[in-house]
Amino acid sequence: MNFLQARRNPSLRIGAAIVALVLLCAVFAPLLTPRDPYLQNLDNILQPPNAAHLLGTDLYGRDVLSRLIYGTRSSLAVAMLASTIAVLSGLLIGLIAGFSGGIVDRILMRIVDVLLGFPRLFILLLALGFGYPSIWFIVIVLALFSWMEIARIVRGQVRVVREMLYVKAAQALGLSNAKIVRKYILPNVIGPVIVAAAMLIASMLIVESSLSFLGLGIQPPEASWGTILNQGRQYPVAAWWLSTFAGIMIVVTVLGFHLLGDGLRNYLDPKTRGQQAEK
Amino acid sequence: MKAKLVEIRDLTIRYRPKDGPGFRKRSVFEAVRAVSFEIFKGETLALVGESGSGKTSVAMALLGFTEPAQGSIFYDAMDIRSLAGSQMQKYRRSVQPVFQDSANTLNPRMTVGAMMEDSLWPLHDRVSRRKRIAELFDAVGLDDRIYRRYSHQLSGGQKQRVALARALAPRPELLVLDEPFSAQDASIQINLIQLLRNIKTTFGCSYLLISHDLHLVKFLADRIAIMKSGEIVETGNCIDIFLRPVHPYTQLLLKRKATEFPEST
Amino acid sequence: MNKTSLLEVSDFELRLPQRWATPAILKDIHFEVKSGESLAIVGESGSGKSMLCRSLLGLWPEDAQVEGRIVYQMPGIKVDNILNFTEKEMEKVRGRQIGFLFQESMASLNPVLRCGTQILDIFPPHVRRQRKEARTRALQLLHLSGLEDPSKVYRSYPHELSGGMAQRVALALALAGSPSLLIADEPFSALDIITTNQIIRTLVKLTKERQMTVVLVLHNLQLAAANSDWMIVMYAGRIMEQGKTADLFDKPSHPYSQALLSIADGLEGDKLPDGIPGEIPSIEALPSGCPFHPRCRYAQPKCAELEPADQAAVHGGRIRCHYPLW
Repeated sequence: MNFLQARRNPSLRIGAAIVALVLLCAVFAPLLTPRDPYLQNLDNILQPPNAAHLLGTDLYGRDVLSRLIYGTRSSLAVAMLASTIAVLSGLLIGLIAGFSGGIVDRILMRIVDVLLGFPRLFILLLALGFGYPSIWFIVIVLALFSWMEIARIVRGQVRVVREMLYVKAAQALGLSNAKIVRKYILPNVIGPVIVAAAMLIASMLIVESSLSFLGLGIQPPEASWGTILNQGRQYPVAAWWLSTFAGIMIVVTVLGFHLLGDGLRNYLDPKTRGQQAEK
Repeated sequence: MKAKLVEIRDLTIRYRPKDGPGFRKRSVFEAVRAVSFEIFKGETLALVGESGSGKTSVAMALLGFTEPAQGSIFYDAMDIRSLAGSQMQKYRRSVQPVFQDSANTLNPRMTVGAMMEDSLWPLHDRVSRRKRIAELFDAVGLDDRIYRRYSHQLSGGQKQRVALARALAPRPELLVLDEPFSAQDASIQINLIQLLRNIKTTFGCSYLLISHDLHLVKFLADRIAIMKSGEIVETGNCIDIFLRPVHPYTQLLLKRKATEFPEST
Repeated sequence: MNKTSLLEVSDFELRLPQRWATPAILKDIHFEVKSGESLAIVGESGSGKSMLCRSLLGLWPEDAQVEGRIVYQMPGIKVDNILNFTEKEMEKVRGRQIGFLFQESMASLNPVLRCGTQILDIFPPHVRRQRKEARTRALQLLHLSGLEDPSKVYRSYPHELSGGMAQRVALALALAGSPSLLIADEPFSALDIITTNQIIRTLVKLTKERQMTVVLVLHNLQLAAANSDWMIVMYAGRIMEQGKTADLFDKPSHPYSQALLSIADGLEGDKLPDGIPGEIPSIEALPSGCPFHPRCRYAQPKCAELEPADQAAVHGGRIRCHYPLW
């Protein structure tokens, strides 16, 4: 970790800070929430922000702040799980395609192209409309439609790295293909993948929130930013705190991951690593 | 009579060029055409020619990285195309490349030590490996401290020595050196020549030295083969090439750098 | 012919901030280039010659601290210290008046444009408008640069050309603006002898024909010797010796120049010459006093303590040494 580079990189610092905060919320949610997010209080519905409920209450009298904090759990869980599956599968397919070359590469890339041609959101909505909107189902469907980008990126990088002289030298030394991929190729292609992963999480968050907003994602009484937004939709002015705070939460978190991705890209790019004194 | 280590017969290598922004159809390009030569055990053969003459393609074919379109490569009287599996692995470890000192000769994500350990993978005993690495470092003139360094922390000269140490690890019989002197200062080139001489004496390997600089290879080469546009135009002992060059292209290459051209022309 | 000064550099210093300090990459640089002459800047890697080259065009790194004066006397460029120039004034410096050749020719060529197009782009708009004439001019330039089949190269993309051909296209590009000054930074190190000889021959011819001034940065002494009127020898960011090439070669007064020369001569012979012991110092570990002293055969105690000042040399140029050889 080159701290000098990190210091010159505001996107990285701010992004990392935001993401760290959100993650902390998710992990320590029970300790942070002032109230039980599921506790209904029908005498207290739709209260504006006050001393007892810092961000107000929702349609069932539940504390909005607590629900937002707990919402980080569901939203992040879906986004990060789906991203992890997408990245790992994309990485695997990209490595195989890039390293094998030839017909294997061509077949795999055709599959990628075909899948990329599908109208994802449409199919997603269709599937969820008919299917049972469990968290796992959402995760798998999201991952299924996201691994292709990663595979493309990885395959491109692998093809470049494969021609590098240090890989040829390793082959000349008789090292096994497995070892070459693991130690010589993988560490040199992972950079863009990490950046893409951060961006992927950001877009997954939006998709998940949209789905919950439409009632197709996480269902109430589970807390999710999208469901809070959905409630807020009905009372945009009268109960402005519902849409506003949920909206801010989504925007800030997505921004955080974007900045993190951007910052990582700048950090990992050798060209922007600061110039050595030239001779 | 010296024993033959490598024999190359009628080697032809063709490439289909990569696509670019234009849409023109490009025909297949013949980089090497019916090239034949031998490398004897213990000698240094220099393959000299301009950039684009095909000398690197020949090296790549010898190293097993490029499939020749025609012709054969014999190593110790075995056709290398008939080699498979462990025999191929054995061949590869006997013929080691030392690439041009460029940015991607060393894995940027591995320490020098890790790379050296990898090069000695058949040696399972950790202690003997470490010992051998120390010997190799010593032979190329590297300090042991380099073990923990990454390639971006090394100078150009150090990187080249690491590449050399890595190539010597499997005790190869032939080192293929691709443009080892390119774009370097004269004093560094001299140090490198001295180093290569010492290594040859210590390790007793043969060299295939690829370069465009006839005046540098003369300090190392026993025999020289001149390549132009994919063909070998002349082969001979180092001394004969310099004193009695036959082919006009050879004579052209021998002309000293620009001191022949008076300013008033 | 009255030779006026085209470029004057005085007291130029460039520092680059590092983690631990801000060392001087270039120190105490003074020299002059007269119109119509050729100057060779010679030095090994790490001497700072490339940085000097870039600085002449105002292309020093963003975080560099620069001091001193670089003044051009050329039509179209303000006669003032370029260190004080605004962006707009700087653009004139990097415009058509001064042609620049890089080491990596491919880097200066736009990969998605045909070579001919790139040359045309440099011509001023009124020239470009006359399509036919412009094309002829471009073809002439390509031919002048030593290309055998100019129309083929005109139509080609850079990646379709070999290294030598690309370098010649880069030369044509540099000349397209009819510059009075051409600055070339190691244009030949990636090329073989034959191509190098050909390009140099072209360059020399053009220089004489067009009365062009040339600044050539090289690490090959023989090339420098044959193709320059004046020479500067650099080491560790300082000018160790400078003077008229013929005179400098006749009486190389600085031990470093002498060492470089004897290596260059030695390589021509049969016996491998001795190199220079030691290594080129990195900026982090510059020796005290004269930066060359640890490797100098003639070093005395004074050399380790005090850095020599710039003084007159026997051959009429300047030298930075306590004990010049002549």
